[in-house]
Amino acid sequence: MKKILIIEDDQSLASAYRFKLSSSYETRNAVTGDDGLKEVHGWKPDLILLDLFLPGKSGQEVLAELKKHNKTKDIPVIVLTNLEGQNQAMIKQGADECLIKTDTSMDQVLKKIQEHLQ
Amino acid sequence: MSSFTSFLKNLIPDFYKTWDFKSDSNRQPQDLQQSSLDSSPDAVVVIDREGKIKAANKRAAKLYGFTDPFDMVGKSKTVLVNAQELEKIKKQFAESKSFMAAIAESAEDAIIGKDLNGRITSWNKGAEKLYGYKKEEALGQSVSIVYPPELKDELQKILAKLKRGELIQHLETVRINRDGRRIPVSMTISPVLDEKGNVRGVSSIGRDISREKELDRLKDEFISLTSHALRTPLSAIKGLISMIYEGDYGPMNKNLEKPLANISSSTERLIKLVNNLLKISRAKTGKLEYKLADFSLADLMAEILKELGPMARENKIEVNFIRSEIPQVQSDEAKTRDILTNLLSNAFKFTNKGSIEISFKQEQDTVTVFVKDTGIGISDKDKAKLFQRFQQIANVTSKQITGTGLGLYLSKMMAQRLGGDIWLAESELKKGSTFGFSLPKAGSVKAKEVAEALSKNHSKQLV
Repeated sequence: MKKILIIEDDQSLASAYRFKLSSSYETRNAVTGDDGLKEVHGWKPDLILLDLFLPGKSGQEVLAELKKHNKTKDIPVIVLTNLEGQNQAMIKQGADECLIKTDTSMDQVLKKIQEHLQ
Repeated sequence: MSSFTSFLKNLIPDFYKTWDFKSDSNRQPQDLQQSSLDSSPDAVVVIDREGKIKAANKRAAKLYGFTDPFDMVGKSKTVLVNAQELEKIKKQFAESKSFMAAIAESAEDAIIGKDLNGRITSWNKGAEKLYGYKKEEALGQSVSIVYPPELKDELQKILAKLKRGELIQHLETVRINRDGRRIPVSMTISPVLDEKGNVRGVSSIGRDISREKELDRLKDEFISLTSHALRTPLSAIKGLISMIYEGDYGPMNKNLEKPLANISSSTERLIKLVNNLLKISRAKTGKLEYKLADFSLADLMAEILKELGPMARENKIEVNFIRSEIPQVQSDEAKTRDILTNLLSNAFKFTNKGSIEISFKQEQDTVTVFVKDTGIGISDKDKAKLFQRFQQIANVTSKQITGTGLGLYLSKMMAQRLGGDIWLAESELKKGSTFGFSLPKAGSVKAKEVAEALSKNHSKQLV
């Protein structure tokens, strides 16, 4: 089973994602950017769902660090945020997708994950 | 004594003496010796019955601004009044001029006078404070010393406008002070006319609006942060509801269907409200980005109608789409979609078992779409509030209102930014309403102006 790391500080949203993905994927949730990076190196997920507004290290900083290291730079990252106008900047920084949370349904998130794991 | 002489006596009691000849035709003015007149310590003027000056002494000549008393003879007595009044007016004028000058001088605002070439002709204390140049340094200089380099063409545009006699009010712009610091200012600039009505110079009043700008920025940041913070839990609620619906958590209890549908629609409304607030705050601070393209308004309308089809059928509304051949418009497609969707869903919402007619019209520079419904109509009282924030028109039918009260406000703001407008074309209570929405025609002069203005705004943000 492929592994998906959800870096998201809103725990009910994270648990909703985890539940939605539970039948097809193994999931973990990290609440801060630093914890997320630790999980990336230790647990080695196949895909990362990344929020931008995070306590401590921001999502943008997490993305930059992921792209800096050879071991982590090829892990697909889907940015899920409510910050608008981030799309171009995030794609430029190496994110595979940048979705607005309130405009994206659970099914769409699932579909995007499937696309990027193919 | 005639009322006229008594008037004069009251006006200048100490200097004025007059002989009233009444019907005494034997006494000619010539009888009075000029020398005896001149020996009088008072100003003496002799006036006949017709009001002509017959004689005057030297003092009178001096008082009324003549070099020789004989120059006064034969003139109408009105010259006396005029001369006297003129003195008074001159004095009042000088007083009010120095009063005005004192006001201008001590005003907090920067008040500057300049000629039509932009050369500074006056400079008050406020200007010294705002721009940092002393009066002696500023006079005679070009006013461009306070213009930032990228706004040099603004000066030419302002001067051109003023030469046409136009007034510029509350222009929010940026000026630069002596130390090179940029200061946000609000400028009111008006032409100074001479007595023939020709533009002789320019006066400008500038006010530092740094504080207002800072408060605006803080308010915007606050709205933006709270909105973002609100959106995350809202997306969690939205996601969880949809998962319950779809049976991700097991088969749904039928009794829960109705309350869940209500929770879902309330959540959607909250999301929309927060999104609109965010958009308004971005639009107000010029941060809302507009991506201009040329496209067909009719095609876009057809697409949206298809999407809203279920809503029309649900409300038993017949849609007449009168598609005429119209040229493309220049606009932001996503925002135009929002505006059209807003107009149509309003029409559907407030119409029960009626019809909606959509038609197009083109003018010189614009294409307009009209959305006409046979709905509840808008009362005169509500018309005034229609495009204001948080205004909702009560729906007289049993349907509940599900708006955010921000739709039309935001739509109008965006439409105007795109060079168009939204307005209530007509409305009658219980008969229905017609809304107009115009956009600049692709390739038109207006379209080019809008594209230029928006790109300028965009580049300003990058700086």
